[in-house]
Amino acid sequence: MVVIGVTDEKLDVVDRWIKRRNPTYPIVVTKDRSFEKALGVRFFPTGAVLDPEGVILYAGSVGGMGKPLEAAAKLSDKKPFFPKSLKKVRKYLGAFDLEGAYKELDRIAGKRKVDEETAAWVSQFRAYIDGRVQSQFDSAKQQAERGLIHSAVSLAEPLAEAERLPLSTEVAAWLVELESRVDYKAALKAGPHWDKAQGLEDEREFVDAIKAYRVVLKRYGGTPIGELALNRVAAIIEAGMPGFRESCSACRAVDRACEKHHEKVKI
Amino acid sequence: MRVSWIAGSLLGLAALSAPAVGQAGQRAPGFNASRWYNSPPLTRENLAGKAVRIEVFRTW
Repeated sequence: MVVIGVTDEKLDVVDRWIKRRNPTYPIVVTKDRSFEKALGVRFFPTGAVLDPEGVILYAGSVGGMGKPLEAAAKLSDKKPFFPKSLKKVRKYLGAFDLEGAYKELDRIAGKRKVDEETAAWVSQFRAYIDGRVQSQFDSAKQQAERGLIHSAVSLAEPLAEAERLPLSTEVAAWLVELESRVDYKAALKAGPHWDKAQGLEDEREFVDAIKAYRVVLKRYGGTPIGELALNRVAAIIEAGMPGFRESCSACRAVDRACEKHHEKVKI
Repeated sequence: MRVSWIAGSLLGLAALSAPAVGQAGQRAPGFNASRWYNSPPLTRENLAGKAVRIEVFRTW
């Protein structure tokens, strides 16, 4: 059986979630909601079972997946989807350790006997990691452009230090250049405060998130990261989130604070 | 033929084990992905022959 997680959230939000949870199963971030629409997703999490021909056997509550899963498994071929030898590679990937994964692939490829299927997966995983390295470097550049220097550094540093990965020299040179930015030191200092605020926002503790963003704004107003904090406060208020309660079905239904729980917060 | 008969009876089974919300019986589309984590992109072709468990989730 293959397990696939599907979400349509922002990439940086999913990045942070994976770093916290370290899942090893494949997770796809969808660009549009066409896949979710085909399943008729109305709540989260929604479970679905596809049979070996790709036909939807079931979509609904995760608790109801048992029997359809058993049925689909009976129709499926019994070979594991990923060769067992790639288990460590997948573990490294789930821990966001791209270099560890790459080195493990080298080790597997260097074995005397590598069957055809494993060799094909090794080359697919290598190409995949090359793509991930490139997109992580692109994200670092985007974060730096936004003023989130600490975030850019934390994305780029592991790439610069990982000599086995492509682009490491290029990324290292870029990091040196980044240090010459006027707001470099202030933005690095503001980083932990920003992360705290963003973590609270990820956890949907919007009132606390606003308080934490205000700390960034107060200490680093007038710098790009201070401006960003102000924008986040405004966006949270504008979306009607302050007071949102995950435990309230009315809040969940409108995906913002319901009338009863709404808290007035001024910018 | 046999497979589609079994699938047909499974659909009945899935319908009984409500609350199902989806379009059971239709072929799932491929993924229009902006990123894959932990795996090279998976397609309908390389998933053929496998039972697939999907979990559509939010990180919160």
